[in-house]
Amino acid sequence: MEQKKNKKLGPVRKGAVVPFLIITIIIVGFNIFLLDKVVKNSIEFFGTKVNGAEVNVGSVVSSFKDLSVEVSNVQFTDAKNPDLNLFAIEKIRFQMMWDALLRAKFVIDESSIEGILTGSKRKSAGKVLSKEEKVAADKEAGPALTSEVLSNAKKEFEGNIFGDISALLSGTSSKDLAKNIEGELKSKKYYEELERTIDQKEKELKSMLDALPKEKEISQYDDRIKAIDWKGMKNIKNAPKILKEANELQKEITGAIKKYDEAYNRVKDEVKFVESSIKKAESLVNEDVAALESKMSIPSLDATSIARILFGAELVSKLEQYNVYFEKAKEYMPPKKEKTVAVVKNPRGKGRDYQFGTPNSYPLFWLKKANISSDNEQTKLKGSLLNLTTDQNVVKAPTTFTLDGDLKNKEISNMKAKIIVDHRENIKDSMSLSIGSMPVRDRSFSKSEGVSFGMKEASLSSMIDAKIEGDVVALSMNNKFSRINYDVEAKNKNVKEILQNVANDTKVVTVDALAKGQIDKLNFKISTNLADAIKNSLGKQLQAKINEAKAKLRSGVDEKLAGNKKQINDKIASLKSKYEGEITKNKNKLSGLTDSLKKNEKSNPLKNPLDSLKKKFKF
Amino acid sequence: MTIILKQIFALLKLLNSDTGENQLAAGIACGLILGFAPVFSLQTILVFIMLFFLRIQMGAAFTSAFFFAFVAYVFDPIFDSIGGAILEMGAFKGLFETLYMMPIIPFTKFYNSVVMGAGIVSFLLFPVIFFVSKGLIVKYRESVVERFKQTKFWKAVKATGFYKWYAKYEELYG
Repeated sequence: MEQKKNKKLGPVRKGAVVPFLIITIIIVGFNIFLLDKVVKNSIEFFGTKVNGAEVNVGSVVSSFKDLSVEVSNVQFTDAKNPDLNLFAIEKIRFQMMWDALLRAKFVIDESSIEGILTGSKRKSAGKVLSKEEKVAADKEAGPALTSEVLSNAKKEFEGNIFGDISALLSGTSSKDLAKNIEGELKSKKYYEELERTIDQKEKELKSMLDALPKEKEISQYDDRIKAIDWKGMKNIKNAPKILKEANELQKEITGAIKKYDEAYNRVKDEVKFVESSIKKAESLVNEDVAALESKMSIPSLDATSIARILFGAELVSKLEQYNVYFEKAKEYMPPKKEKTVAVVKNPRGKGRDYQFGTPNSYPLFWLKKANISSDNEQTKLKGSLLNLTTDQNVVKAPTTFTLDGDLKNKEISNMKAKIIVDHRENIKDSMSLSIGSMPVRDRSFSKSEGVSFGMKEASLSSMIDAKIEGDVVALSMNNKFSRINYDVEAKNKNVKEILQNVANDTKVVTVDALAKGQIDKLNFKISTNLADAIKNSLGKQLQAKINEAKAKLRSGVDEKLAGNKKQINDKIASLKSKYEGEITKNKNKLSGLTDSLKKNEKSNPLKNPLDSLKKKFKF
Repeated sequence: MTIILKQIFALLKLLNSDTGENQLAAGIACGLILGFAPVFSLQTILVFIMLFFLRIQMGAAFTSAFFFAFVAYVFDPIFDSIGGAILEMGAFKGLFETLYMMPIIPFTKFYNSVVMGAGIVSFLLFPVIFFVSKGLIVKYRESVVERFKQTKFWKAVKATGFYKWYAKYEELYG
């Protein structure tokens, strides 16, 4: 016990040092032996989720000394063809900055991406995520808002122009006319509803008319006027009584006239309502006709409509594709928000903060520069990615991506891409992509049982510009197809001939498209010489057929609605003649009575008593 | 919470024993730095590391930190003036500029007048508090503890079976 008491304890807690050393050794050991493997597995795991198919990483080598990481042989399996890679990168190298890391920020001063291969053969087929796995991964990534927003635009461009033309020329489209019209017409429903409304209104008018003074009461007014002793006015004693009686009578007649006026106005209002309802019914008839034209696939032969059907879907799909990237950029690089000033009250005196210059400040993540270079048998690319960061306001520069070069194995040459993502104040993103030449294969404009029209092969040069400023999107696309080998097949001889003419006349197809506006309310303008050629080739013959079909449809609808229209017109005529006539007649009678009352008053004026006195005394 | 309570009981035990006056005095002096620091900063973390690795009485440190925090609250205006005066000294301008640009160092918040004032005062007072508290502990043991041990009450307690059992337990596992 004495020994224990006198045992000298050193200044260091040995009990704390040993666990600390063990933990330190474990961390260091993990970094030396396992960190690279963990990073490799993480890239493969998350890469697979994003890509929707297996991602493989050859090796990861990290160095704590210079904070560098080198990732070699990254392969992204093509989900559509798992034997091939969508693309592969030979080497990715980046180095972080110690200065930033000691401020708990991740800044990559310079990095390089070298040796890009596209469509290269894999050693073994890559695993493709099943539908369930893909849905789960997509859920984690967030909802695909763009597809929903653009679904209306997609619907706008639905159609099969050549199929419709073929059906029209073979006469099959007009066969079902009666059957189609038999279906519920919006205008017919409206007419029936209108009839019921008019009946109801007529009932109301009738009861209103019943409450008005009848002929008997009007003739009573007349009798009372006649019964007034107007001559009694000569005697000043009787005058007040007569005048009072006349005044009361006039009031009653005026009241009756007012009631008739109100009734007259009410009838007029109701007639007006019915007339405006008829106009609305007419517009519904036009809507019904347009809907039936679409249902029966009667094509519209103006170049704009044809161009929209031919290339609208492609424009929307491009928009959809680019908007996904812009949305992602918005998510990870949010625009500057109005900063709310938070006053943190320190429980102790907060003191004063002195500034000695501006310290190096970094955003949470900043990739200053990534050089992209690839020169192999598949690709010849050169580009850069500048200022990829979580806060552009700190680095005071937008994120810029440029890429120039050729994808030899895909026969894409003179490709130039430039993307600028500027979220420093308001969103101001832009993307321009130009392709000197790229092959197009099996581009179909129409594929139906009767008609097949498209391009088997062609060479495409394309220029696409997309901009987003705030919530306004603008996309312009100028495509030029040359060296076209058309695919023309049609059961109907006339159609085949027409399409052959179109193919012969358009050796080069140009497409100029523009979409502008808010993403859910985009205005599209599409023009193409192919549409003009189709329109010209179809000529007057088809236009006459279309007009005939449209006229037939119109007359069919009119016939169907004829009964309803007649009913309404009869009812409106009855309203006018019956109620307007009767009211006007009685109102005129009452007005006549007022006139007679006024006339009597004028012809029997009240004599001034002073006049008789003046006469007597000969003044 | 258990660790803090354990440390406070250890403080009481150590205070009333014959040894450990250096541990207690160092704890009280470290508590001074913790209590005077107005915000959680790098120097606070350094003090905690010292408490963890060095044989400094943690209970004494936390108790004195609690006490010195109240004292600092009263003296904040003085710390502010002292810190401000130091930070405005032309001679140190170059040094402060260098420190301000360096990584890690700004986490000490040395550029704040109260942090600087309280820091300087607590570092200056550290040895003073250490020796003063050491002297006071010795004095306390000589006068208060020894006198208490001579009381009849304490002798009666020592004679109980419970105390003997506790003394044996302390000898074996304490």
